[in-house]
Amino acid sequence: MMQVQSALDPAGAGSASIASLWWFMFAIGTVVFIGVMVATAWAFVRHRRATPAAEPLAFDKRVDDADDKRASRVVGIAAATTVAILIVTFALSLGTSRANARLATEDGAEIEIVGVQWWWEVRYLDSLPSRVVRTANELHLPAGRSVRLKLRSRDVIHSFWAPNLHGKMDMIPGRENTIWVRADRPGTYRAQCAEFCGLQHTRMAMAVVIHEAPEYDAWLESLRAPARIQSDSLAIAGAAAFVRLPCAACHMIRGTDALGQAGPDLTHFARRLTIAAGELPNTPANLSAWLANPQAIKPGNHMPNVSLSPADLSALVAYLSGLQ
Amino acid sequence: MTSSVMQRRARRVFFVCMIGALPTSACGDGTRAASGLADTTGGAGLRTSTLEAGPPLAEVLIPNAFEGDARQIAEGQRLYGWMNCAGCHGPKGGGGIGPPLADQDWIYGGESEHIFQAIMQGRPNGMPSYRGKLTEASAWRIAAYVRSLSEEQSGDSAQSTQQGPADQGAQQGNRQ
Repeated sequence: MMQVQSALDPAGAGSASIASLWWFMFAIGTVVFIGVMVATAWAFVRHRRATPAAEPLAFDKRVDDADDKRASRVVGIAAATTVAILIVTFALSLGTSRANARLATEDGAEIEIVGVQWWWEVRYLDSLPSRVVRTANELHLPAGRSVRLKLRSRDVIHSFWAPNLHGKMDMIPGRENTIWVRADRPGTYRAQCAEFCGLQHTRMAMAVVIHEAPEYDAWLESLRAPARIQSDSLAIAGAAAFVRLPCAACHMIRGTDALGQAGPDLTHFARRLTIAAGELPNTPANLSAWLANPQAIKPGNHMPNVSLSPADLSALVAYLSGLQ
Repeated sequence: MTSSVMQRRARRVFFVCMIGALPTSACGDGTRAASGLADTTGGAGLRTSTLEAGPPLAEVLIPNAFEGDARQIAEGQRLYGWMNCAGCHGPKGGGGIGPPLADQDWIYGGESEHIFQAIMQGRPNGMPSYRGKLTEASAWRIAAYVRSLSEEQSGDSAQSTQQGPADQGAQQGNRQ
């Protein structure tokens, strides 16, 4: 489902330039490493070959002019090559940074990502406030378009890192950091918090889904719709339970009386690939396990154990699984 | 026979007559009944039973397991914000539409359990009930946080009262 996160499998403009720089540096590193190893080996071999014939102590022996000259030439060439490599690498990394900084363009849509212990709130911004959509734990991007990601935090410092798209960028409370990304290759990738943020830092992940541009537009438009009204009797019972139980105090399901802001928006929950910020695949069985005891799956997370009756649990699972 | 035992017996006979033989008005032993009457009119008042109310019970409070636990108090602080307690009681419990929580004045008691009850049951004149919206553990966490607010305050005031006399002493010293 989700591909392994890798900076060497670029799916976007930023990661592509970073990956090519990385490969260039890797190639140079390899050449230098092999060169140093060969030179070291050669020195050993020459030493062993020279030892039996020459005097044991060579301090008094006068080094002739030719040897001296040859040695200084070798050192000079080595130093010049090192400096040249350093300058080229430096120039290339500057170029990479500049190229990534220039991703910003006119057509750039804006998406706000807020780091929260231990999940991600994602808001697709629009000039019309009524068209802004709030969702969670999944970032959808159109292929081939530059997107401006505004990164904020609600509690502690987090770091947004989708290695297949771009480098890391910190999310700092009270501040807004921005990176521009352009995804090129449709697919599903993985993003991860890259700054230690507390107990469940390692389990703060998110799916990054890259669509073809028209498909993305349709997806975003459908996300603006309120929650689907279900006719199944179990789901109706689940909808009532969601508002009656503490669920609605923290979670929002647009189109119902559940208006909580503290936790992830669940309006189109059934479309999500994962539950609990990338922790479990979104299946009814996993959802049931999560609702029964969220503290067993992500200890210390801010969703309390609500002692659900079996009837409420199965009704809630039916209801949430039907929120397409 | 001591006089108190006699009194008690006389009273008992009197009440038996009053209840059992009221319509006939003929008591078995007229003289004893009359002496009983005389006794009660001379005493503090009519006693209808030898049973009497005990002293008021000491209030048994449920201890709050989260109190003093910094992590749980921090969690309570989050919930205080999320449940919009600050909307009425002010951020950090300074008060607003609702009464302040960071001082020492409590309308319904300042123990953790009183705060828990206020959250779960609500209180007259505005405090809504959060039963069903919060788990009990969450309400206890908020109670622990609210308690910590006034403890902070009393800690400060304790410091200032400690400083008070010392300052006065210093001022007096200066005057002298």
